[in-house]
Amino acid sequence: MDKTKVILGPFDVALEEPVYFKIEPNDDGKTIKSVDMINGFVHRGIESIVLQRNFLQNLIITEKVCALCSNNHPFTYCMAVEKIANITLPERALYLRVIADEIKRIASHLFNLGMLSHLIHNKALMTQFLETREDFQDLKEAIWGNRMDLSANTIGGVKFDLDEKLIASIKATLDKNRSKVEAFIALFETDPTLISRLSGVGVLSYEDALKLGVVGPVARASGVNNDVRKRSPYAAYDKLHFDVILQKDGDVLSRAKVRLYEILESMKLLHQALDALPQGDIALHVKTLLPEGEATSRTEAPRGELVYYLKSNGTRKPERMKWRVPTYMNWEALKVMMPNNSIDDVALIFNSIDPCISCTER
Amino acid sequence: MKSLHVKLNDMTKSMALRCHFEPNSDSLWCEIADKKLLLELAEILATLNARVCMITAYQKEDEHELVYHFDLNGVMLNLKLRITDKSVPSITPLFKSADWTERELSEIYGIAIVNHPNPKRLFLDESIKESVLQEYYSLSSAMSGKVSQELWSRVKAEEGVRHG
Repeated sequence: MDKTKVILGPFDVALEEPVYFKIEPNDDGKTIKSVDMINGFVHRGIESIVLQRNFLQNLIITEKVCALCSNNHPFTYCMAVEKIANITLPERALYLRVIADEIKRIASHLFNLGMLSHLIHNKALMTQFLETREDFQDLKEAIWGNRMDLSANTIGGVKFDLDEKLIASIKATLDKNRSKVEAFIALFETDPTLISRLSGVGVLSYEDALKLGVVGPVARASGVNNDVRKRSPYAAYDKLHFDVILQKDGDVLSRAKVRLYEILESMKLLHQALDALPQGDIALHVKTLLPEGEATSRTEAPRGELVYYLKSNGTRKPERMKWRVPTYMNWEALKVMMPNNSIDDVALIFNSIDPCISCTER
Repeated sequence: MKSLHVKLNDMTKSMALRCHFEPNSDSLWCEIADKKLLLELAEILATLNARVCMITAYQKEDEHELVYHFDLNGVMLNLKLRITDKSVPSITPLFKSADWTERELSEIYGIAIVNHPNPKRLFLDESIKESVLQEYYSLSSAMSGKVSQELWSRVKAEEGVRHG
């Protein structure tokens, strides 16, 4: 048999985003020997663009880096700006930031699980996941007027407030969907068809996860705890109680389970934040002229740790601004996860790291 | 957290390392004067189970300032280093997590990463010259507006055929 290379891409392996897989099969022609990836198809040079805009304009640009993480980018950017300006936010703003983030996390996790069901050709399950997500999309539309880009954060606070009616509707949505999520968990814990299809696929060991520095649900599915919300608390997370979900098998099934259990934790966080929501201002009136200085900030995006570095020199524009997204760290792990798996499972394993190409290539 | 500060200073007494904690914050900032110390310090950090989160570079006049962002058990350690000769030793052999971010440094700023195990381009095509971040391209030229113009005239021509 001649040595054939399998080429997948550049478009649509799991989502309609461009990435190019070069796969070398084993001698049986069915399993993967090695994998290489070519990226850069949507590189937009945003890190250079932000140096030509002022601090307020950059708030909007960071929101446009990616749709699914579009809350965490401005969130983390604002935290860096606020650190340099040395301002303390009103308590209410901190809680509202947590609320926006957790609603976004639930919707993001449900979308990823919906894609997983699609890739294993379980259309009924996919429909259920996306219908559940739809409730949270509606919630976002009701609160922020948008289903993806919330524009919830601003320098010095948040741009939206919650009244009794909205709080009640968030709680109603949570109550309505809690049992659904529990049913999904029961399915992933017990259903023999699902378990045999997903377990042992795309394994990343604890040691490899540590070595590669993977983040988010990918790390936690391999037993590595680096949830930023716990390790280095920000906003109001140090005042709220939740558990970090850990699994030890490091396969596609574990990553799905981490996301499912995390939805329950997010619901727990939302209930607490809504009940404890302090009164007061939602934003400070701040000028966007920053003193000279530099800062780093981190948040836990749905896909994992997001890092921002900002340096200002006293002018209206940043001197340097850089950020690193979760997928950036998880990508290299695919080279460990994929070998000796079936070529049919490339898209399934790829989807299990919840990839965001738009974020990664900036 | 403070103990980490003290521990690092003890371990690196001979290195002329200056560290300070940000007030009311979770970040530690350190500066090293000589890039030869980078590998020595990286070895120490590797024994402390650090993880490379990101490396930032920026150019000011004829020198580059690099900031290595390490995660040390939940604390962000920012290690600063100034270079004038556009080259720096690779820490990827010690930290696999530094692989991509070092390659990106070299393709965007043209900084040579000495001893990198996989020094391929990361995002940019080989035909694009190094250190592109220093130049400005307008969006229309970057996207090659010519292509869409050509496509548009072809569409118009075909429409004309169909409508007689």
